[in-house]
Amino acid sequence: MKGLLIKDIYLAIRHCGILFVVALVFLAVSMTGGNNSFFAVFPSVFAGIVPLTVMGYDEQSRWNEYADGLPYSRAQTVSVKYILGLIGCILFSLLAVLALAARGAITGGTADALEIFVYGAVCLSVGVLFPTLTLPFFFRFGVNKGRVAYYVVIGLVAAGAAAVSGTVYYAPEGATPPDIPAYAACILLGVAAALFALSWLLSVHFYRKREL
Amino acid sequence: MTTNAIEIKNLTKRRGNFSVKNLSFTLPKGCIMGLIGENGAGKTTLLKLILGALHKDGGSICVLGQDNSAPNFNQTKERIGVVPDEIGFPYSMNAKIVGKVMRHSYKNWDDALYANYLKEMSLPVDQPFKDYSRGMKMKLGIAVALSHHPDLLILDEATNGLDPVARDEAIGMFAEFTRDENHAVLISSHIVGDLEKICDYVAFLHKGKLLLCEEKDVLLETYGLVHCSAESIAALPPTAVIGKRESPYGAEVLVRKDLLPGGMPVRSTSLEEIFIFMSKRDGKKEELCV
Repeated sequence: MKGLLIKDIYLAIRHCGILFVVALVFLAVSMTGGNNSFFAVFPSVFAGIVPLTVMGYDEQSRWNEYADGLPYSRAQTVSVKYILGLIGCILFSLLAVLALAARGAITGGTADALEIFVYGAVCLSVGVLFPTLTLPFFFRFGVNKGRVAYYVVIGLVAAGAAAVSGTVYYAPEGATPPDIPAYAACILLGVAAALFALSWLLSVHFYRKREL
Repeated sequence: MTTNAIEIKNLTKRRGNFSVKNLSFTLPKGCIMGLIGENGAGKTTLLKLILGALHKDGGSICVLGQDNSAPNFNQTKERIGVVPDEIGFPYSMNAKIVGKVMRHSYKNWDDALYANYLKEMSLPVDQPFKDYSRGMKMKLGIAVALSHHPDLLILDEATNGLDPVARDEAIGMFAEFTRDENHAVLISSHIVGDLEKICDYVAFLHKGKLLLCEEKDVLLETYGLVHCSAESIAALPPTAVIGKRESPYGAEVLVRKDLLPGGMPVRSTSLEEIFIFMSKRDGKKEELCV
């Protein structure tokens, strides 16, 4: 499976460079303080989009048909896309956490371990939402038809972001954003992990049955 | 230890309006089998079924002694080199990156052998795949298929797009490959002349049905062409006549030489002519037994 992963990481670096740059800009903005920490969630969302982009390039070059001749199972072909998404989301969630800690250090404040955990858990959970909700459609219907799911999820994420930013920016004068308790972050992480695993199994099931 | 590289029994597959019907054949080790068929005859479908990329509706496929629906068929794929009709490397990758990916995909990957093939085929290692010509893409596909020391090569139109010199070199490589008696090649091609040069066995596919599967030399020995007038066809034994082509200037009849009366002049024929005559036969689509 290592060969497939090397190929996907190569394609991700080659074709998703602009996403990474935008992600870093968002991370930088999140460090400016105030309510901008909210921007730190987006880089992991972008990382979740990477497997979908790679799948687009795979389909364009008919890699999937070629890969059927390689010593890989369909389950491994699917798994690599999930691993790629997970690696990206974890990486950018860690960067978000580091950004939070750095901001604390710069402003002289401190971020306690609990706050960092909650922050990282939210970034990771929201980030994996994209591949969780879209990859089964991509594996079942192919990239072109699967894009419908992609746009629906983009719409949902945008609506969610608008709702959150509305809460943050239009809250009464002097109000602070609601704190997410650690147990809620744990539940969020657990639900995200369960959905991610379910999505993975569903994609394997779909792709095993699909005839290219 | 099995002596056959591929054993297919009663294979059936329906895909939309097309179906592979009750297909059976065997490719012994140490041999090259050519798969001949018109566009849409089912050659690519058959090769995909062999690799397990398509699910069969019935029958069995055994590759290098392993049922291809077994969960561990991936391990068998380590011993198969595949060149599909479209080499599906991502466009931005170059031969160097392809080598890196394959090194981590095949346990028996041989970097030195791969580098040697690239050099022999004059393939630029740093040029993106998208800038390769069709012939160069095919060459890279062939280099990859051969660089992990496979026992079986499955080639789908692998010589298409190659110039005559490169085609001759590729055919030489495949022939060299089967010098090892444990190796075998299954190759489909429209260029029947190429297959005639290297194949030991020939399979004719027509509309998903195997018209014939036989040793090439036996085929060329069994069939012949008779030139006569259209009226004289009736004088030929009906069982000897396989197909005919009539024109205002006379008729060409594909016949079984052993069923003709002695002394009748018969011209030797080619695989291409045998296939064309057989494919055009109307109403006689049953499988032939030589």
